[in-house]
Amino acid sequence: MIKKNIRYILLFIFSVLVQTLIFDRIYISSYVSCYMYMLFILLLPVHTNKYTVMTLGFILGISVDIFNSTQGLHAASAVLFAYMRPFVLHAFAPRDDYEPNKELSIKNYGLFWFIKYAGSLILIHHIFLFYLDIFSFSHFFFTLLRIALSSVISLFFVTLGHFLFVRE
Amino acid sequence: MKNLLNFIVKYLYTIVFILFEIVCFILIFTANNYHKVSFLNSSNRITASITEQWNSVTEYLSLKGTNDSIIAENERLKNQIEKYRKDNIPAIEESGFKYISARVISANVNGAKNFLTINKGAKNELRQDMGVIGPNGVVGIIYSCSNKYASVMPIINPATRISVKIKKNDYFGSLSWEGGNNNLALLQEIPGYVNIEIGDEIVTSGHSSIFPAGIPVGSISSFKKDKSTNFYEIMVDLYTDFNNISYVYVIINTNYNEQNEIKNSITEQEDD
Repeated sequence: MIKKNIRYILLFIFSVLVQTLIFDRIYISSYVSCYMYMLFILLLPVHTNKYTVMTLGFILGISVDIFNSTQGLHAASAVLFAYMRPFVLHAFAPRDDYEPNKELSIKNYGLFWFIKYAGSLILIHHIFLFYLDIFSFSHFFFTLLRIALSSVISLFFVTLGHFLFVRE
Repeated sequence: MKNLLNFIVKYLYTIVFILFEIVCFILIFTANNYHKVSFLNSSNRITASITEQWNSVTEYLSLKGTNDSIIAENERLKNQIEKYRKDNIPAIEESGFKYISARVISANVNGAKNFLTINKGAKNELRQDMGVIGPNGVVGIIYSCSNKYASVMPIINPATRISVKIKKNDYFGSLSWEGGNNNLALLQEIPGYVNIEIGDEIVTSGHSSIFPAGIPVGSISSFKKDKSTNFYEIMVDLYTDFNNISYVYVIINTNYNEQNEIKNSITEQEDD
């Protein structure tokens, strides 16, 4: 039990540090920014209490905010991400439902399922984050393009990160 | 009462969510008060020391670019000295400005509200509202200081306003940034009768106590005239490359207090 918790604490630290020390510093193009710290929330066990998930989402977002001097921006987005998680899980539930002891991984539920699950949550997160960040619709189509391209890149790195965490 | 309780129980999850979002939005909108030093920004001691450690690892990767910009800067400074020597003007004047070099330890330059953090702070005489320049030109203005670190609000932050002028004819206006590309800023308040061309150099005006006059900012990349007000809207291509910025100089105005005292005494007289 304790061993399992330590894995998730490590995943939390890994998500925050990789996001703020690597992805927030590399410049790909003005169209693409990668956000993959939500990996932590994605991989929490299926039956984690949904209020716990939301609180963890808030703490995760605030941690990223402190590193980036963006007070509350990532916290607001991560809370929305955590809030939507049960609905998305429910919408894409396999025919015989989730098994409590299986991790939410590609190995257990398939690549297509994972892309649907992670992809839709990342898209919701990015739409909210990018429009909240500029806080106007003045660059509407530019932002829309940024959201689309960034979501694809984020999904790619989230999938990579998931392979690092999930055990054989 | 029973109905209300039922409602709360039924929608508890959403209500908790909304409460969380309210907390986040309060954080976001109090952060817009740029002159409030806040404990949550990255001049915070713990996060800044983590990012500084990390920087000491990664700075080797950008060493070549840093070297190139230092060489270019050296060349420019040497040319300036030559000019002074030729004109027989004493190079060191009582300008009242002092420069302190600092390293950029974290840079957010792809969002809408951009910030830089540098590794000098109140301990090194830095305080709020000091100008920051890089090897190529103006970078921004200091917005908050902790003891060892300071946050810089770059030109590419919507709250920054810098007083600049067109170098060839000294008409001055105000430079701001409205989002989008992080190489282009908007220059306003230049009257429509002024003769300008693409490529004209923009420098600081020296009208504020923050920057001395004549520090390069950028060059005109395009302009159009607003028919209703007859003022130009000029897009300025910034010399500073915010995607690759590793060290900066903070400008300390040693006469700042004196200048401010005079300003304040005037406003006090107006108030009387």
